Amino acid sequence: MVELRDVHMQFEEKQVLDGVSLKIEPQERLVIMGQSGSGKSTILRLILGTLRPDSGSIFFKRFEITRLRRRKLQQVRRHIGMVYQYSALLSSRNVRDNVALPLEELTDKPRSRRLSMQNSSSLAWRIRKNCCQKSSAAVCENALPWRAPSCLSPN
Amino acid sequence: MAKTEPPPVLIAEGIGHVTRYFLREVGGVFWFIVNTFEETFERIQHGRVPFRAASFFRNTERAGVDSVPLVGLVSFFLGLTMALLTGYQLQRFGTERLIPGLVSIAFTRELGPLITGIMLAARIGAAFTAELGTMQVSEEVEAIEAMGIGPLRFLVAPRMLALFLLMPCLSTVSNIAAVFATSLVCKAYFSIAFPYFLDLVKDSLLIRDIITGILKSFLFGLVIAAIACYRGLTVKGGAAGVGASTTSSVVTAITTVIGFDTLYNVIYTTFYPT
Repeated sequence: MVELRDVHMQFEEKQVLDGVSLKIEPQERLVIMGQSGSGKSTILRLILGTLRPDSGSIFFKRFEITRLRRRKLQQVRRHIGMVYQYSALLSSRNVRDNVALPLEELTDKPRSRRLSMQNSSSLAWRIRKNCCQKSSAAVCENALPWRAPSCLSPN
Repeated sequence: MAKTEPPPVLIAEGIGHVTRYFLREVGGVFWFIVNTFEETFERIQHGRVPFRAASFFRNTERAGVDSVPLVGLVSFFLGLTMALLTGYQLQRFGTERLIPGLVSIAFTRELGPLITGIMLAARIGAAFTAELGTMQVSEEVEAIEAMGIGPLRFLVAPRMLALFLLMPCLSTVSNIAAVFATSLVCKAYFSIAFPYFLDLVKDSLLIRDIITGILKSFLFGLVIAAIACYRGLTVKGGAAGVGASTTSSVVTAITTVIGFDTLYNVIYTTFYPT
């Protein structure tokens, strides 16, 4: 499903990835561990296509991420879920708007309908809970299930 | 001890570096605008709104409505000063009735758009860069990209459109404030009554002058928003990077506005020398 072939990545003078190759099959779980600055997040960003490698190829399903054009890349990204270390929620929006953002942007139904499409009672409870606890990581988790990503990358 | 001159090769290398950096930045902003348009129109072609109306109106309010007092006040004072300074010089030749035309033409064609552009570059350009820069360093922009949402149409397009549409309105506010200040000076110091003042303004001002000012304003609005958003989305290096990019954004936007104004005038006077 996800494959990296001989990927090299360098930030200025620092060689972060030096010929990395790996393959992740469907249903498989892979944990990447390492010191700070060793390139763990870089691998996730390369899979997501927000970074381009200096050399090598990255595949997601049948798509070669490194060769995709912007529009196609955006479509492919919709099948990849990313959970950020610090949640990366939009600070200018409230919890409800953060949950609604991908629903509004990537589906055709009206917003109220979209929010009610999700198991609303459970969601509403969790949103209220998050508002009280200001726990943003849980908001990310709430926003993810409707997309049913083929690949989930917790950073 | 005599200072040694740097070798010519080093000077040429330095010039080369600066030129390369300049061209890269110009190209970067140009493609940034092109990609924003492309992403926005692609979305429209699919029958979807490119960004939330609320986002557009919020930026319109910030860039436009909230800037009216500042633009109006500064232009009022400038109009006052200009009318006074030119008035006393013209009075020596008995031609003080030229003041209304002089100030209104100067503001409508040149100073109105230019001053508004400089003020908005400082006020709104800095705000756009700081806001997008903070989003960039806190991974919010990347999170938007990760969801498959185009950040250019989602974050940049409403800001660009707001400034593009609001600049001509603010330039008009600037012109009106300056002309109003001039009318007060003319009445108080040179005994030119308001109806006569208006006749003099109408006689001297051409439609061409107004159109020139408005076209310039549209251009300045687009350039300021593009530079501010570009700098914001290319921030690197945390909080310090946001600060550096904000400063750079204001300096670049003001310099570019003045540069474009000069270029516009050179082209304009080539085709319409009178």
